[in-house]
Order: sequence, then structure tokens, then C-alpha cells
Amino acid sequence: MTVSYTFSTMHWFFPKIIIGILVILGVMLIIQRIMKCKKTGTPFLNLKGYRFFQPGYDKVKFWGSIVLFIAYVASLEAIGFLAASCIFITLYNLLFAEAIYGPEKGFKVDWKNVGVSALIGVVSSTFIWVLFYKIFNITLP
Amino acid sequence: MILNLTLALLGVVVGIIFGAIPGMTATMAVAVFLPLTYAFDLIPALYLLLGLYVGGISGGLIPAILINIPGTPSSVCTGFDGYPMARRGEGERALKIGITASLCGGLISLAVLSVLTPVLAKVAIKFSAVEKFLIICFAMTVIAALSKGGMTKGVFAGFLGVLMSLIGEYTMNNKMRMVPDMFKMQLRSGFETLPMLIGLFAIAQMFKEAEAGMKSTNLNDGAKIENAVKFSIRDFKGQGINVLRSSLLGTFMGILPGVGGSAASLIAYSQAKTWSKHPELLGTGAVEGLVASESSNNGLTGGALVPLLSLGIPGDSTTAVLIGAFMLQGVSVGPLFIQQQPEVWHQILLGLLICNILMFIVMFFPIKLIAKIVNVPSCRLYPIVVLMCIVGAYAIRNGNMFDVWSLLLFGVLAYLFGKFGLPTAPYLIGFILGADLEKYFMDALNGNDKNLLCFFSRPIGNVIWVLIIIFLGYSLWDNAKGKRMEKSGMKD
Repeated sequence: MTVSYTFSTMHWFFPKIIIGILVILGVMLIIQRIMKCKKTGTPFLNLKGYRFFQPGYDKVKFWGSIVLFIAYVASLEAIGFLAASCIFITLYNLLFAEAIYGPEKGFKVDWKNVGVSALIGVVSSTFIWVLFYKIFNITLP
Repeated sequence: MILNLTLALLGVVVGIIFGAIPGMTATMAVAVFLPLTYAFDLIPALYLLLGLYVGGISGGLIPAILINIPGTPSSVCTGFDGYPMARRGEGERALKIGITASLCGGLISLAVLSVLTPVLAKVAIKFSAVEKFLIICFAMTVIAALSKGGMTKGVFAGFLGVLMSLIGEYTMNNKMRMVPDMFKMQLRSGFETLPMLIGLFAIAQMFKEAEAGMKSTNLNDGAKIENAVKFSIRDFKGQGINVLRSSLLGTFMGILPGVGGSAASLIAYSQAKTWSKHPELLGTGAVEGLVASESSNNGLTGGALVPLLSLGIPGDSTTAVLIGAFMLQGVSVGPLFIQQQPEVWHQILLGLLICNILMFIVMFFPIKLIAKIVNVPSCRLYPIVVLMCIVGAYAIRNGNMFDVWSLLLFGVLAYLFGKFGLPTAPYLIGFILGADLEKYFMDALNGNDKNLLCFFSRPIGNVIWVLIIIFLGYSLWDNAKGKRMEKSGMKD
């Protein structure tokens, strides 16, 4: 039972097999889901009851962490590692430790928390920068 | 040597911290610190990473016992008996029993590792491309079979990983595959394993935690560490067989590629229940259950290194990360490893021994202080984790922003995987093994006139086929059994 492929096309030989397997598995998964839905009586796509996020998920922290990440990485090349890290690690601390209260509490600012966040941000960024850039000679943006 | 010891100690301490905070795992610790070992030689780097590994797995018992939340997945059964003990005021005793059991597990698996690996390596040297291909297939079968979410999803995730690893230039004929034009430069050699790893385990975890609000766990919610009943060596009386059996189970599960700590711990626990003289006591605060869980999850550490160092196939996701460490230093792991690098091999054995002992010393004596680790707020730690991830991803190819963006890509991907019930560990191992899978497949075909029957022509190869079929059969049966039990309302 021989297969044939030429030198110029053999880079697609294996991938096609893998893609084929994935398609078969995908179909199996769909069939499994249909069978499960038939048993429990829920419709296949169940768009109404479908919840992607857990109910009551923390919108600010979740989307905030994504947005901050993108902004952080984008700024790395622009303003360099040390500056970007100081700013964004502080921001991350503020975000996660809830230093600034939202509209329910009237936009109160917990200054002690802000101070701790800024301290952690600057100290850790500088420490890592010194350790890896200066001492270990690892390239940083 | 002083450097090695210092790094080992550092690794153990940091590992325990990562392991003791629910939501952060040993794998994450190793993944985050891995790129930072770039500046070190291989042996100091290994001491650090082994310390992180051992510390991370052991640290998980602290919150499991004190607040009934496992710090790492491998400590999931520790809380079953540990927490009731803590509520009875035996917290310190439970912690100390757990730590001692961990040490026993680690040492026993180390012994197995040192004996079994050279034997396996000798067998593996005789492998041709056919057997190598089949062994990787077997590894992926095991991973998929024992993964959460059911076997189909596991296999799917695994093959997805394989597909991802094929992106880039094919070495045999230098043609690009599945690369959009604008990324031709960056994706020439495909995605880098390390940013993917860090993104999968650390960044995705952060998104998950952020979604849940980054709550910190509070020690005051649970039991206090009172000294109502003190720890004594006599607690281990009669536990000898339990320790041995659980540790060996953990080691064996570690040897099976792709099996993680939670499976090892669960199987050891259920076996302890089966063989116990008083099975009804397990789950109410029996020393037996605690010992079984903790000795098996540390047994995993040695066991997982067996396939890594003898076959080049990772035993669990943390050892998959360790492959990265070897790659970083330009050392290849496989059947010839022990022959070619005997000093590294011996250092690994020594390092594991030292790390286990350090773990015991660090955790056992200042246990009251260590228990407070659980209180460290994750909202302060995660930003620092992000920082280290960025450094790691960037430095891996000596300054490449694409790798940093891949962090985000894979973080989001793993997060989505979680939402759809796809397990990430098979995906990662599929990615790591994918290149080799293809290489051996094509090598086998090329060397046998492109005849597909060559995969059935070698005796050792056929043995592996039998293993694969046995395993597939077992997991299908196990799946069906699980479904039958669900139907009749019983919980396993």
C-alpha cells in the first residue's frame, strides 16, 4: 500500500492528514453534542440560555486586563521597557486591587492603595530591569 | 555548587508560594521563570527549575488543608481528609503529615527514576523512525484519554496542537505552510514554544481570574492552625504500605506521558480507599487519605522525568516546559541523553534529591509562617507575573515583538479553549511533539518506499500498536462506565 508525493508538494502531505483527522473529530464532536441535546431536550445551538461569561463576571477587570495588555505591549517599542513597565504594572495593580471605586461608591480614590500600587509597579519594574538588562544582559525592548 | 544550592532554595521557596496560591500552578511557575534562565548555564538553570517544580507541587497542600481549596490541581484530594482534620484543630498536624508524605513520594519516585530511565533509554536506542512515530502516537493517545472533557475533545485538542506546530517553513523542502504573507518573516520557523507556553498557562489564567474578580483567599475563612493534637512520627505507623503504594502509583502515572497531578492523586486516593481497613473513615479526616494524596502527587515529579529523559517525550505539562529549558541551552533529550550527557543526568538526580530535602526543611519547620502565604493577594502578584511573562517572551529570540504578541494570542486562545471545554494540556503536548511526529512519519515512509504497511512491520512497533489499542479500549470502557454511573445518579 504505497502513497506517492513529489518533493515539491510533500510539505502538504502530513498537514492534509492532520486536517482530515481534525475534520473527522470535529464532526464527531458535533454528533456527540446533537445526541446529548436530543437526550436532554435542549436545542442544538441553545442561543437563548447560552452564557459565554459567568453571570456577574467582573467586566472591568476582565476587559481592563485585555486592554491594558494590548496598550502595554504596543507601548513597549515606543517608550522602552522600563518606562512602559512602570506605568502599566502600576495600572494593573490599580485595576486588580480596586484602588479607584466606580460609580456606585462615587468615584472615591483609595490613596493608600494607589500608593502601594505605584510602589509595587515602579519597584518591581526597576528591579527586573536592573536584574535582567544590566546584570544578565538579556535584551529588553 | 553554592550557586546551584542557592538557586534550588530560591526555586523551592518561590515554587511553594506559587503552589500555595490557588489559581497559580507549579507549571505556571516553571513556565514564567524558564526564559529567565537564559542567562544561566544548564545545570544552575535545572536546579532552579527543579526547585520550582517540587516546591510548586508540594505547596498546593497548604490551602487544600487550611481552606479546602487546592493550591494546585494535584492537591485536589489532599483537602478531602486534610480539611476535616484542620477543622478539628489538627491543622498543623495535617500539614506536617502532608509535607512528610510529599517527601516520601518525591524520594521514592527519584529512586525509580534513577533505575528505570537508563533501562528505557537502552530499549529506545533501538527505535527506528517507525517506533518513534508510534511511541509519540501512544503518548498522544494517553494524553487524550485521560484529559478532562472527554476523549474526543482531548484528541481534537492534541491534533490542533500538532497542526499549529506545522505552521511555518517545512525543513525538507523549504516551502512555507499556512503563513499569511505579512507574517512571513516572523513565522518562518513557526510559533515559538515558549511564548505559547507562557500565554497558555499564565496569561490565560490571569484572564480567567480577572473574569472572576481576582478575589484573594482569606485564611480566616477556614480552620486555624491550633495545636490541639501535635504531630508525631507515630502518625505514620501503619502507613508504610500506603506510602509505598501511593508513591509508586504517582510515579507510574507520571511515567505515562501527559498524565497530570490531579489524575495521580485521584487514583491513589481511590486505591487507598479500596485497600483501607476502615474505608468509611476516608473523607472524614483520615491520615490515610492525606498520605495517599500527597505522596502520589510528589511521586509524579520523578515519574514525569522518566519519559522525558529516556524518550524525549514529556510526562506532564510541567516537564513539557522543562523540554523548553533543554532546548534553550541547546541540549536535546532523547534515548541518547544519558549516554551523551552523563554529568547532566547525575546532576538532575542530585538536584531532585536536594530540592525534595529543601522542600521538606522549608515547609516543615516554619509551617505557621508558611501557612500565611495563602493570604498573599493574587491581585498584587498577577501584575508581576505579567511583567515576567513579557520579559520572557521578548528575550526568547533575543528581541522579537511578535513573540510578545503571541503571548496575547495564546492567552486568548487558551481562555477560549476553557470556555469550550477543550483541555489545554493535550494541545500543548501536541504542539511540542507535532514536529517530531511529522518528521518520524515522513522518515519512516521515505525509508520504506512510501509503503504505509511499514508501520506494521517492526516487532517493537507492533507491541506499541497493542499498547495503543489496549489504552483506547480501556478509556472507551472507562468513558462508558462513567456515563452509566452518571445516569444512575451515582458519583464516582
